[in-house]
Formats: sequence, C-alpha cells, structure tokens
Amino acid sequence: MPKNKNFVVNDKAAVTGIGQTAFSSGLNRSTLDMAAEAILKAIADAGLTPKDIDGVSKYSFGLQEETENHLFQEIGLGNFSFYAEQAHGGGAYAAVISTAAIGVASGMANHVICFRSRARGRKSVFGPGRDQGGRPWEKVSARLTGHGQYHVPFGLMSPVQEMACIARRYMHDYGVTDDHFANVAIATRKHAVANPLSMMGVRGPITREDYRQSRWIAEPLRLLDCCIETDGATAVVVSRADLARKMPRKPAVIHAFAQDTKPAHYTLSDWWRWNRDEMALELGRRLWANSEIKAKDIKAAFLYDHFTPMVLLALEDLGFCKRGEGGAFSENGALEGPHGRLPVNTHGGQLSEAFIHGFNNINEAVRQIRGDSTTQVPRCNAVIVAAASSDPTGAFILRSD
Amino acid sequence: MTLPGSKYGPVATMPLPEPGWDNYKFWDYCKQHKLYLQRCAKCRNYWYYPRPLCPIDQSRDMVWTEMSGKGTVWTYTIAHHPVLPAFAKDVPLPVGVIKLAEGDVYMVGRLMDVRPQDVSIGMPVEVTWFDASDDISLPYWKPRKS
Ligand SMILES: [Zn+2]
Repeated sequence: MPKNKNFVVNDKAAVTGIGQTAFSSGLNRSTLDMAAEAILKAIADAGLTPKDIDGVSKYSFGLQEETENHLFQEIGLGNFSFYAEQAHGGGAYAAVISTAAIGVASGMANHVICFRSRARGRKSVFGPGRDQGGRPWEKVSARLTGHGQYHVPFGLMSPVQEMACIARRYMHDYGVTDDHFANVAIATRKHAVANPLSMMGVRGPITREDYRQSRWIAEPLRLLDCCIETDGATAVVVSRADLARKMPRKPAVIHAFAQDTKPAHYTLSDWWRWNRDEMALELGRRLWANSEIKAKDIKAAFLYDHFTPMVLLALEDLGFCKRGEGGAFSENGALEGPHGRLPVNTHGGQLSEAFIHGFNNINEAVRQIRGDSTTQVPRCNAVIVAAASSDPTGAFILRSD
Repeated sequence: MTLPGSKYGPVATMPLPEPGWDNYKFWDYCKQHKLYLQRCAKCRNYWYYPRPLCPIDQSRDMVWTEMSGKGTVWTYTIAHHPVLPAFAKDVPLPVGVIKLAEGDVYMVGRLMDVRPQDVSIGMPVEVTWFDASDDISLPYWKPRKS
C-alpha cells in the first residue's frame, strides 16, 4: 500500500494485542479490577510482559482508579514515558487510539496500553461514584451547576432521550423511518448470535416484528434501539509498527486518523443552531483527505451504535452515503456480515455485544484484520472505526500490513 | 452480607439549577416569570443557554432581551422511562426542543397541557411558568393558537 504523505504518524503504529473481560449486566467488580484483567490479557496477546508497557492512553471521563500511578503500583505496568487522556465517553475512543499512535510514532514509547473499564450494569452495586454501578445520569445532585441545569429539570436527562430528539428530527427532515432503525438492530443482533462472548447472543436473533413489539423507552426509540449497559473492560496494545512486525500477532496497522468537535448533545440547544448536519461531515472529510484508503476500500465499519439511528447518521457523516440516505443504505441486509454491502459492528456492537463506550468496537476491528472474527468478512484488509459524532469525536482506519 | 455501596440510590427530588456567574440573570428573570435571553449587540444573534461572550464574534456586549415567549416544537421525545423518581408520576412525559419565534435559537423544554400523542413537530407553543422552589421558576411550554 502506498505511503501517506499527509500525517507523519500514518502507518507508524499498530495494534499488537487485544484483551477483554467477560461482559455482564452484573459482575460486581471494581473498574480497576476489570481493567487489570483486560490489560493483562492484551499484553499477553501481544507477547509482552507488563514491564514492557511504557505508555498509557485512556479516558478521563468517568475514570475511577485507573490513573497512571494505580496502573504502575497496583497492576505492575512499566514506568510510563508517555501518558495521555481523553474525555467524552463515546466520542473519545477513537482519540484514545490516535493519541497512542502519536505516542509511539513520536518515539516517546514503544508499547502503549489503551483500555476502557465500565461498571454500569443494572444488576451491579449502586455505589456512590458516577461509575460505580447503575446509570451516571441517575446520580445527579439536587442542585445542578453545569449545563445539566438547562435540560435535566425539564425531564430530558439521559442519552436515550437526547438521541430520541435527534432521531425524531432526522426522521422528519429526511423521511428515515423506524423500519430503517430496525435494520441496525437486526444486523447487530445477528452478529451477536454468532459471537459467544456477546451479552445478547444467547437470546437469539430478532425479527422485524420483535423490534416493533419492543417497548418504548423514549419515542421514537424502543428498547431494541438502545445499547446494553454493561460491566466489563477491554484493552489493546498499540506498538511501534517496526516492532509490531516482529511480534506474534498479525499487526493491525493504524493507517490514518482524524478528530473533530461539534456542539454537545447534552443541552441540544446549540445542535441545530450550528447546523449539525453540515458540521458533522467534517470528520469524514479530514479522515479521507489524510488516508490513502478510501471509503470504497473499506470492508467493514465499526460505528458508535449507542442507539440505532446514530449508525445511519454515522454512515452519512463519514461519507458512505449522502445526507439523508442512511436509511436507504441500510436496506436489504447491507449492514449484515459477512457478505452485506458494508458489514457494521460484526461482534454485535454496543447494541448487542456489550457497551464499553465503543472500546469493544476496536477489539473487533482488530479481529477482522487478523481474520479472527466470528462473522469474518472475506479478504478484510481495511476497516474504519469511528466514535460517537454527538461528542468531540474521531475516527481511524486499520489495515493489514 | 451487604455489598459495598448498596445504600445509595438516585436523588429523590427534581434536580434544580444552581445559578452561577454566567447565568444568574437568566434565572433571576425566570423567577419573575419573564423570559430573557442574551442578544449580541454586534451580530444581533440570540443565544441560549447563557454564556459570557458571543461565539460568533467574541463580543462581550450580550444584551439581556425580553422574548415573546412564543415558539414552535423543533423536535421532541415522549419519555416513557422516568430516569429519576421525581418524574415517575409524569411519564409518559413529552419534552422537546423549542425553536423560539425570534429566530435561530433553541431551548429544551417540557411540554404541558398536551397529550403525548398530540405533540408534533412545528406545533405552536408558548411559555408557561412552573414555580419549582422558592428561588427557581422553570420555563415550560404549552400549545398556543397560531
Ligand atoms: Zn455576535
């Protein structure tokens, strides 16, 4: 594949190890405990030891006890010569990887650990911290100092309600229907059924009728439009590409990446004021401008499927189809692996595998490049991974070497 | 055995604003049942939520301006899950984004005096006030005749 001339860091880093815990609606384990398990599995998968890890890239949003010194003193990772943090839950996960790539490409580190650990399963213990069981939006205080004061007192307080407002306007503006939303739910469940590590696979596939019968959470979104809150953790090792070629696993090379900011979804007030539909195209423009691999070359897509309509919007935002055509794009099993037009979230995604703030999408993207997926796309040599477009966001391309 | 943290639960009351330096004037006007938003004296755009300067031209000449209190439903949801116990008696609860009559400015607001199935995009609404506590009144919205 030709060298990219845009970013000096393109093709300079690769994912060399992946790891995860079990996914469950109630593990009753600390986020540090689960992070440690996923991290050590990823390190072992890369053929490394904990002391080989000299960098860390992670989230700051909802972080409990997984700070640099905790990782050093409680898990026994190496002395970090590089560390970085990203905020913004579902918008951050692509940037966690691109920051790690910058870290190794700059020479500051050889092997950077990246991870996400969540304790949000409904059955888990409802601890005092925002991420110690239950939903964080249930843990608002009686008086709100931040932007929450402009929506929480009015009854708009959880992501599903905010995304429902966006979905309603999307349907109104472009004629997208809940039948299109069902395409996403059905595809991701099909993938989960093939994936023994998924949470929803044991429940079997869903039909269009199952979708229609599922109860309203926030109209126009039903239960089957929503991701599944999860206890669990995933981790990946990002290594220097030259080192990756001597390591045991087939490297998933980080070819290109991009980042972008837009108005926040929390208050929604600025979402349309700033013409979100136009602004959201910028991430894709930046990514493809910086990538030798183009949208038509992508064999599978890992999109942030916290709620089904957001997958259709992401297909449009990233240039896989025109604005308003995401619904039509999803027809005829287009999103279903292994042979659909563009298989999406072939592990089951946040909708049906587990909700690890998108981070489990990265592990599956790597499995597709390795040829290890339970819904393996043939000749899968290039995939896209994109974070939630409703936050400051990012996306990256993985390719085989 | 009691698991750690099992004594905690969601806040029981409706969470209310705690005014700060950037927005106390907005909530002060609300207390008087008046809807005032900031308008940039330079570019003439209205802004909500309150902010210290205009994000288009960085002007700090943000003039508190009384609004007509009229708007239309730009989008909405019918929330069936209350999330907090304080909303349990209110579901299914219509809540939406109101586009104000003055122009390209939007407010999240609860919709009152309307059955959930009767809410629609473009529906004309006007502000109605809810006195949530001694110090906080919230702007809600109800249908108006166009
Ligand atoms: Zn201005």
